[in-house]
Amino acid sequence: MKRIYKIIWMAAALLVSCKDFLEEEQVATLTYDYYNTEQGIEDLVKSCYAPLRFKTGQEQTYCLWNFGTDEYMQSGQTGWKYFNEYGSELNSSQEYVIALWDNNYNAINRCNNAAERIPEIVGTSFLANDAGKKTRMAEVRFLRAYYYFQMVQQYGGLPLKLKAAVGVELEFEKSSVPDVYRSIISDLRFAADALPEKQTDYGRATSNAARHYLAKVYLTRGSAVTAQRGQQPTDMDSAAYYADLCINSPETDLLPDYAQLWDYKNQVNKEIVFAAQFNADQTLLTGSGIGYQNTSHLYFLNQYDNEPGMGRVVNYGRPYRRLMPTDYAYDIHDRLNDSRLRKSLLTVFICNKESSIPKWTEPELKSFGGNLSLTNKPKFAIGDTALVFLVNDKTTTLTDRQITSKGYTIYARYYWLTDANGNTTELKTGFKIDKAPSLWKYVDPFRSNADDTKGTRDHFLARLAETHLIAAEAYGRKGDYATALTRLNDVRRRAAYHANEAKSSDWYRYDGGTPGDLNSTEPAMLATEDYFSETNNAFTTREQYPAGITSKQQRFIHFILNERCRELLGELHRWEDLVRTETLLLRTYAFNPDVVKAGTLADRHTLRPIPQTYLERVYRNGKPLTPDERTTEQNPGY
Amino acid sequence: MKRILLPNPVRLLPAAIMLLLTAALGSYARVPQQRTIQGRIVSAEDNQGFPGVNVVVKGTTNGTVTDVDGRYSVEIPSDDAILVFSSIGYATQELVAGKRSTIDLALEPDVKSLSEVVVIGYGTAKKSDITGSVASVGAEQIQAFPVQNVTQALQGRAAGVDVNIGNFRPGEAPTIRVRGNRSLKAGNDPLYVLDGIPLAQGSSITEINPQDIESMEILKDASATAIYGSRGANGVVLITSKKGKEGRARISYDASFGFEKPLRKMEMFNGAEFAELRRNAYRTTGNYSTAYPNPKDDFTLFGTDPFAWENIAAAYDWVDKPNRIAREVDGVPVYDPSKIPTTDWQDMVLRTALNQNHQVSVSGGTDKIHTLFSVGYLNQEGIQRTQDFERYTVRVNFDYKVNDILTIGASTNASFSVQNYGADMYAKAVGQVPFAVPFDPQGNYIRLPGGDDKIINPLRDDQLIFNERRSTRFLGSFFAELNLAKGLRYRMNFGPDYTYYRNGEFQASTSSERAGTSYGRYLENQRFSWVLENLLFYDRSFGDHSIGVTLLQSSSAQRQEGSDITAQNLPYDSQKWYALETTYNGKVDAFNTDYTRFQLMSWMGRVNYGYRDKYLLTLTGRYDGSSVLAPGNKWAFFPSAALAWKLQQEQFLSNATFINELKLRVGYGITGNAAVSPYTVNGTLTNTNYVFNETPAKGYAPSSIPTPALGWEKTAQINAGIDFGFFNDRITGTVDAYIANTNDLLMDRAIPTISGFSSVSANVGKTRNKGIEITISTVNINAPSGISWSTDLTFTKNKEEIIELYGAKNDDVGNRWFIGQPINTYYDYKFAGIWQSNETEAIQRYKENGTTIVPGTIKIVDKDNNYKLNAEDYMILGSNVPDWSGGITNRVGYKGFELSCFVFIRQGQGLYNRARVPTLAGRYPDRKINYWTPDNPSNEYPIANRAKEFPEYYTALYYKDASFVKIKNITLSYTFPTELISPAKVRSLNVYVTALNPFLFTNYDLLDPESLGDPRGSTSALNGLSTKSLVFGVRLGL
Repeated sequence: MKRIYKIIWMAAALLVSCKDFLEEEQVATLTYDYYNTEQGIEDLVKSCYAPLRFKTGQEQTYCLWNFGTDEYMQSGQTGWKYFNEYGSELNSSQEYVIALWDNNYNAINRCNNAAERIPEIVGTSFLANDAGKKTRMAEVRFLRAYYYFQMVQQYGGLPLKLKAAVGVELEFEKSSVPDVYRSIISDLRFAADALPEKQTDYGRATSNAARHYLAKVYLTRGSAVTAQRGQQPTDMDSAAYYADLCINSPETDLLPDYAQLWDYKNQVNKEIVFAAQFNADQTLLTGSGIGYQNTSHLYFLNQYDNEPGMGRVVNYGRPYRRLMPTDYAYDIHDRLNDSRLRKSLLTVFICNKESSIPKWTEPELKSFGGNLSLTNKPKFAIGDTALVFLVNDKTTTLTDRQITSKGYTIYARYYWLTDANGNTTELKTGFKIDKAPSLWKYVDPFRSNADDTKGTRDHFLARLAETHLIAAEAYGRKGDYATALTRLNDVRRRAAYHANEAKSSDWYRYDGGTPGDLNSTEPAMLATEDYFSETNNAFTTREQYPAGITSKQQRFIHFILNERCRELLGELHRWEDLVRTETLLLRTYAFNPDVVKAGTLADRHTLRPIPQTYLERVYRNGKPLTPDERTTEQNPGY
Repeated sequence: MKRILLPNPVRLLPAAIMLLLTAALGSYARVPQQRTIQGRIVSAEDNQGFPGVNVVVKGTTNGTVTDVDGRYSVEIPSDDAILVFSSIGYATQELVAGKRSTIDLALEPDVKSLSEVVVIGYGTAKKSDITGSVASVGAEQIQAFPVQNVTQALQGRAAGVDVNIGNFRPGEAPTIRVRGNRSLKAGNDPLYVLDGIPLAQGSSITEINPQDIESMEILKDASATAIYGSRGANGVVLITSKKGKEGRARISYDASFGFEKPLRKMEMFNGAEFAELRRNAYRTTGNYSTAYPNPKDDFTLFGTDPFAWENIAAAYDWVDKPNRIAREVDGVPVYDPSKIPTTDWQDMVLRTALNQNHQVSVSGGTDKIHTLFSVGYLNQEGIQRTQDFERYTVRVNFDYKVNDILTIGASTNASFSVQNYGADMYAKAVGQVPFAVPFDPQGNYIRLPGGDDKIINPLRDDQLIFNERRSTRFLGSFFAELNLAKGLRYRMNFGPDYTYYRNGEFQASTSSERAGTSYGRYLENQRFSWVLENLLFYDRSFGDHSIGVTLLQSSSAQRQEGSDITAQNLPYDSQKWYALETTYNGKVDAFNTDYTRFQLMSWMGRVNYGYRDKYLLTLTGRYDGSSVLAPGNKWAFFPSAALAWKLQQEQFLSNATFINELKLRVGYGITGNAAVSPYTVNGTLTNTNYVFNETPAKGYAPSSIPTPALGWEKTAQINAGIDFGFFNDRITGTVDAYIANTNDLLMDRAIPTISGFSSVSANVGKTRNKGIEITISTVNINAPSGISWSTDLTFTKNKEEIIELYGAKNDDVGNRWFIGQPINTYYDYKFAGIWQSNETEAIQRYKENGTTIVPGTIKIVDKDNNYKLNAEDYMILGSNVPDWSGGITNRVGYKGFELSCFVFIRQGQGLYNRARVPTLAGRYPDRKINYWTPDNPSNEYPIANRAKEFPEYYTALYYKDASFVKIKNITLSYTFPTELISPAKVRSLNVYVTALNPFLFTNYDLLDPESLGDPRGSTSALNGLSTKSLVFGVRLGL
């Protein structure tokens, strides 16, 4: 019996419920309490930067920012072509339309949390004093403005949330576009004043980043003519002022050579005003959500890897072949003097695959009078040129026979067919879907393998050349063409071929150059008011002003858009630029043949639809919206 | 009761053979002492003559039936003969004839079926005394046909228990829903209780060998489950393992071997049809020049892969093949599509899979000690190459009666399993171009058959892709019980449950998943949970009153930790995931470790009261506290009450002799659910990745909104039921009807993302489940000739609906929750056919409103008739919740042979199916469907169009009715007669052959609807292709 009592006694001891038993212990999980520490606030501020990666996170990269414009059209892969053609799948349920909204509001909530908590924190290191707190505060307000600016350009008016989320919030009202711009400007002005010109941590926002975006915001607001963005008469002064502040900062400068910008080993330099940061550490390229890697390297590439002698390699990239340049993008360049197109495109591919090197056949050799002893010999070897995309124009004399005689594959923009006697018969175009020059600005050899989608390069969100173009546009819109041209020509001068600069053979074969000419083309690049003169001349012809664009002021704006295309081709600004200048329909219908063919681009497309998920979940007066209310709340036409 | 009847036919056939032999040899043999015995059988209840009683000489066919007075007369071979007296509903009696010439007998009613003991929460009860809704499935049913895991055996066996196979991949467990979905957020898996110990949350029972199981009871209504309080909300499955019995040691060996094949495959376009589809897709965009096939365009479309091109080229009659000039008639190239070969890619990744299952158990005991020891081995190949599953189980059960006061015991289960999860070969095989070939004529592997860089030949993946999951689990239930005083017992249970799980993945650089670099992953997870219970029982009877009291205090905790590492670019393939540090990248790609722990504490009391064995009352109350909820909301109380009335005990029914049992039950109870993830109520942070100065700048961002008000989800359920047995229990059954109202439904509620979050855990509203469940067993024939036929039938109808959201009757479109509809409701565009060429007027009106449609595209219902198609045209398109489901089992027995057939039915369920939705872009192969062309104005599927990766509004094609009837098994078994086997010291021997899932009847046009229906119906699980199999088995008892 004794033993039994013992057991009962033990059991009774086990019965004792200690209150602590049900307490939840935080071990490997952090809660908001962490933000009561200085490290917590620093980590919160860092997290505010992460959503910057969204822009190049997935296919929204080009869908939202480069498709459906004058400079790029669709290539072989068709998944998201409705963004290019403005098809009805571009609707309120489209995933990127929703994703941008979700990403940015999530980012804004981080910023709001930080903005509310930074003043309260008692720090011991960086946040020990007001200066440190002010810097961090300015960073998060800069970022909040950036996220709103990115959204207001896509969606128009939207709910302005400037406080951290507490509990479940369901009732939101759209703010007007002018109110959103006012809030953005207020944040950016604070940031421009409070941020240092240089940050110890490269990648954090600087005053120059704030100035650049402030200039761009003023320019965007002030560009409105029929649109209502709350534009003020002083907007262009403000835009010019802040752009100049950025340009004149000792921390900024244009790189001497346009090609240096796209050297993947040169991602940090004075021209980069603000960039989404990436590196090759795979562990930092993952995360939940849609954008934690830079995928921009995928989309602008065309299919080189099924060509004879070519295989897919990391240096040439994984060709997703989503976009290819329009004719406008080629023709708007003065290729004789302007080096930018050739420095932007990847046109020559070196053989890297022995097994698919083609062999000469007798009929081929006979067709151009080649040496028949070469029959069944390889046309080229590893390390030789295997594939060329040849950018020329209609005045070319290149023939199909000449192309055959080269041995390597040539896709020429224009070439002549010849008859049996060698006489030219018909001018053909050789660029086509999947087979057009690739943009090499984003090519990323740091990826782990040729198929790796996780890009590692910083994505330049703002660079000083654009600041110049913002300044130029602002001055020009004020009527100060002289200053405008000064800013502009800084960019055009850099774009020229410089003295003693070696050029490719294409330059003298197809661009009008002379072999051995090492003179600078800078003088020829300097634009004058003739370029946008009301009277037509050689310059205005090359600038391809759309029909009806005749006044000097209008032409100036289109000239700036042309210059932005030349300088910023494929840099994910174009859709915003065309919407900003209210030229989306005019220019896209003028230059994008896909859009012409589809014929569906309409006024409503200057805004993206408000996400259906928002319309269905938002409450008004304690109730979800009715179908009619949702229709009213939606952007018109969707 | 069929258990009682079975032995008769079992013995008869071999006995007949022996008899024949005896007769044949009779002239040589000594004439036996044959004589006659007679007598009269009466019913013990009324002492009246009992007609129709079977009287058989055991081991022979010699027998008779009593006459109207209960008299009989039968020949016996010798004094040793044993007479067997049997009648349905009465206890069978066996008597040795001896020297007697007259045997009179009173047959007692067989109360066994009513006094059958079933397991309920924290104890057992006589089946006749159950007050709640409990379904019981015995060992015989569980082992009626071979299954790999316990849950499969439940399908269609118990009304109200919906078992959804979902995935036929070896080693995967089906999902179980008891009386429908109650909740989404909080999980709908029932609680599993093994030998009294509630298993860890979210744990499966695949590790338990079905052959170790004595019985499974499913507690369905709240009055039964409330005893498990917060964990009983989704029903409770009580599993009782086999125990040793007193007496001679018993050894049994069970084995089965099976051959498995796909039940249904995908029907794809053949080579010529797909080639034509591709041409049509290009014709739509104007990229194919002729209405008939021509070699020039064909070469552009099909010429990338020279071997695929050869197959297309075979259709032409060549004049000059290298220059692609074909013979023409009237300017049209001669083309014979029947000459284009088709590669059967599906067959190349499928196989006839072999399964085997062995179990040996030894059991026995004395009056003090009972013990059982069993080992089991299961080896199951998948029909898809690379999939297989192997499981070893060991069970040791014992109990030891130390003295009159103390009993201790344990039941332990250890298992080890290896699942080769497999490469995704089938899904890839159906994505292969049908006219392309996997190997060139020299036998070399072609990586891109058909020449598309996204269509990679998967046929080497079985050598290159590995996904191995090893799982080790130890489960135990240990107890000590003290008899403190008369009727008073104290018991302590301790149940540890430890699982170690490891998942290794490797994809070689040359596999179809990779391009140039290999990939390895090593994930491990260990979970330990324990339950400690203190129980006090008091059971006494005082005159007409019987009382039972159960008191419980319980604490439990669960802790898990894990790690996960992935790396790329590994130097050599043989290392798989065992040397990830050797990566050429110098660093792994990702790594993480994690940890969670949560605790639960409970107090429970139950009182059972019975009056004159007629009226039974059960009252329970449970008080549960959970660590995952916010302070202030941690504790909740769950009461229940149930009443039963045994009508058959009433005087006024005593004349209705056809009634063996008639019991009315009514019960009410409240259960709760707090299955929110730990740590969520305080608002959690998530780690973010960024870079400053090329060095990591990891941050922490909010990942959830603090939800301090989050409370228990509670379900109040009322249940009324009848248990009945009529006509000597030839008809028995149960009917239950219930209404379950869930309040404060815990859900992840989608909210506007303006505040930074897309959803929040919240108590959002009310749902209701109401339903009816019927279980009927009948003995249709039980003839003295040895023929028997019995039928078991289950029927379940459950209606699930949302009653209220956020305190109002408003639909929440944003969450796809609609008042009056189930929680999982499909809401999308509704398919209305295909736009035809003559519908120009409507097409024009849509175009004017900015919606561009053309003939051949999908027509959807324009709900608001505004000639504009947008998200406002979404409609409710049904749900994956079936209208009803049921099962019918028929058993026909004749002299040792038994033929049984089980049919399973689910009707009125929708299926949201993304598996191989037609793309019709001509790039990826499609299922064989009737698509629209100008010459074939199909109204089923749209035009082929290379410019659309998916047809516009294709989501309207997702939703299909997926009702089905399936013959789950047909089994023929033969039990050898004792006479034949006992000389070999064999106690029992049974052999059987089973056809599992042999037939499927459905209008669903894709695969087996059972292999696609995960709870949310959104799976595209081609890798869980359903199977049919033929299994041969033997059960041997020594």
